[in-house]
Amino acid sequence: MSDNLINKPKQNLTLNEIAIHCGVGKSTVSRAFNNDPEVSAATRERILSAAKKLGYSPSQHESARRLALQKYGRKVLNQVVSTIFPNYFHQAPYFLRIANGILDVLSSVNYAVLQVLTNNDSSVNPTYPTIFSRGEVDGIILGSQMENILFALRKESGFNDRPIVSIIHNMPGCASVVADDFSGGYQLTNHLLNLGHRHILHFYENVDESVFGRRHSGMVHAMNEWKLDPDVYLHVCRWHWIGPLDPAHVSEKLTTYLHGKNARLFEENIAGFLQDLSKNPEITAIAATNDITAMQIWQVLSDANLSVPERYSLIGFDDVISNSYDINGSSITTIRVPLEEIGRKAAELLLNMLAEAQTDNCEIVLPVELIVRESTSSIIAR
Amino acid sequence: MTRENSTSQLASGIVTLQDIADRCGISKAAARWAVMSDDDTHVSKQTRERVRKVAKELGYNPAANQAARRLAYRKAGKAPLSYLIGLIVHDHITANDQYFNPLLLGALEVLEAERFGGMVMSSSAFNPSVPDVHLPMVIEHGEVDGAIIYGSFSTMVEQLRSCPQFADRPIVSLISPLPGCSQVVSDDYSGGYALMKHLLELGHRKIGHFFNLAGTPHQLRGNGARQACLDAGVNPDDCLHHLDYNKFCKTIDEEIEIIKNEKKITAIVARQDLMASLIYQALQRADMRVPEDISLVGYDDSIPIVDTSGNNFLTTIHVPLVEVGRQAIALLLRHLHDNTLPIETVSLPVELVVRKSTCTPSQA
Repeated sequence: MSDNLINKPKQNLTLNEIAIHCGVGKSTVSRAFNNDPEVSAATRERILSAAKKLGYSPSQHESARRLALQKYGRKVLNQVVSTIFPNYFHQAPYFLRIANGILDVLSSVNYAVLQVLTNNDSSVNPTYPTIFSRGEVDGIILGSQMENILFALRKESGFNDRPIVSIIHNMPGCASVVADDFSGGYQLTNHLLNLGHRHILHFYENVDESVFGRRHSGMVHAMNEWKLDPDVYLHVCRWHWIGPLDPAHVSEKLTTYLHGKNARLFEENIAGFLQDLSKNPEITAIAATNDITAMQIWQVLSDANLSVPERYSLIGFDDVISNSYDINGSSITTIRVPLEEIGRKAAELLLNMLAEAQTDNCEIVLPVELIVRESTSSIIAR
Repeated sequence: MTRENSTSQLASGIVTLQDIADRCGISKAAARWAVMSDDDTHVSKQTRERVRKVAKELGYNPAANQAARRLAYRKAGKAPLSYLIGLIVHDHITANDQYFNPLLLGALEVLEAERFGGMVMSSSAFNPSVPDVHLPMVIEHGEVDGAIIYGSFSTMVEQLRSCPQFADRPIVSLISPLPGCSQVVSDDYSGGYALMKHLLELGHRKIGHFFNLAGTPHQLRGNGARQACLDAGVNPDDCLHHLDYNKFCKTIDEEIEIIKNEKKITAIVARQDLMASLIYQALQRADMRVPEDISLVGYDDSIPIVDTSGNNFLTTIHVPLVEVGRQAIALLLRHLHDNTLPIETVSLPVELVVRKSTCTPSQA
């Protein structure tokens, strides 16, 4: 009988037939296919090679298994997790480092990461690959503030109950892994106040965004502890002085700035920024949105003969460019955000949720750290 | 009517598109468009909403439907398309890998238009020196239609092929060609030729380069550079000085110091722009001005070196990386739809971009 089987690969080979062929139980065969440590390596090898000879098709087996599970309403994991990132993610070391952390964890458990990019306008839903409508994506990691996308996904039949983890931003309706932005704002303000600065200018992209909101609260908290009225000492500056609020545009601006294109428009905005700065001479410290913005501001200030850190202490956020090619990057005082760790934690959380070890939409907050470099200095030393 | 649509439902226990179509009185194709797509071109918004409502009532589960469809295909000995492409990249897509990002962007652009999904997979699963690693489950189960590979182990193609579910799937390697699969590369020979011609025309006769001559792309660049020397009537062995990368890595400043003291080499050709910017920093530390004391050429046009007025001044070879990503997917999809096509190589043209980091060598 077994000879016949070898000569004629069967279309509908069952585990039972393989089991009979190898002289083992059906469950042993199943275990061997699933790499169960209960089955010795030698036995597994023997079963797998026999299955191969018999013409066993793991994909057919998998299809059948899934169909069976689906029929009984059981959960079927496809081992595919999708990440949704903004489409400028490819030029932002910030997102890449998070993506690395995610990939690290997921690839170690043989999951694949389905990459979906949104266009510049995050209110528009991305074009999802076919696998989404097939309901074969196990879970999603949202890489930026994407309420609309989350809302639309939750409405879709396939995703109303799938685990979704948001990173950087916390949103109602999904789990999240975020940096301790409050502490970041608190630490950087304390650092500046300790150096003798009193009037601090805070750059932020959008007050409604949870990240900047939390950071700003941290700054206000530090000011209050120092018995300084935030309304007097904490100055707020929005990006539209220099450019639009959209982070995509900020990134684009940096690129165009670096490449010297479209320089006129940028120069007009710089003029406005410098003018506003000169109207508030009591400001001695600037907290930038992030390191990249800090680099831009540094360049703008030094072009205007305003030296850093002598005239203005400048502080970034994220610690993304210290190791990069940019020479000034290694001099920026900043708040280090554990980006890879955020990615890793998000992936681990998602896996826990898939395994139903974690059921509620929790929020994980990771600590940040002040990194003092050359761009901040004591005001007393002047 | 109820009897009719319940037959297939009963048969498999799974609600099919046919069931929905029957209930709504439309064709199966129309039901598919209504359920799967948000596009208005095939079915109207009203129909779509009506069909989706019915699908919900019937308990249509696309994943179960898909599983049934696949099983039927597989039983018939056919492999259904999964609309998934693996994008296999080297272990760590570091922020400094200026290649991966535009490649990914180009690839995803084409995939998105075709409603394919791109799955990033770390090549650590393919590391031959790490025992007991498994390919991502979706590959082992034959649910990935094809793969593009960027960087990494030369055994990867073989490894993918040895997975029975992937034996005949199309594979395309990017930038660095791998044996046994189609590839999309940039024209390294012309790149090497163009940058060397540029330096020779400026009058440079002692040029240090960091090409790793053991690797195919660099070897091609080296060959192009040699040909440019020959065409200019210069002996390439006198003109080209191979600077060792590993040695260089450890002693970047020492290497520059030697170049400075010997006063022989008047131009340096880096492997990529990233390396050029590191060399640039070392040159600054050694008080050597670019281009007055030494000319510097990058490769790939991915990272600018910014001068005081905010302009990139690095002379380099522009490599169309986004286009490489696009072409790779286009090539892969062609092979996916016609598996009789032979393995092919697509080579994209590169372009010399002259900025300010190169000039006539000083006579000092």
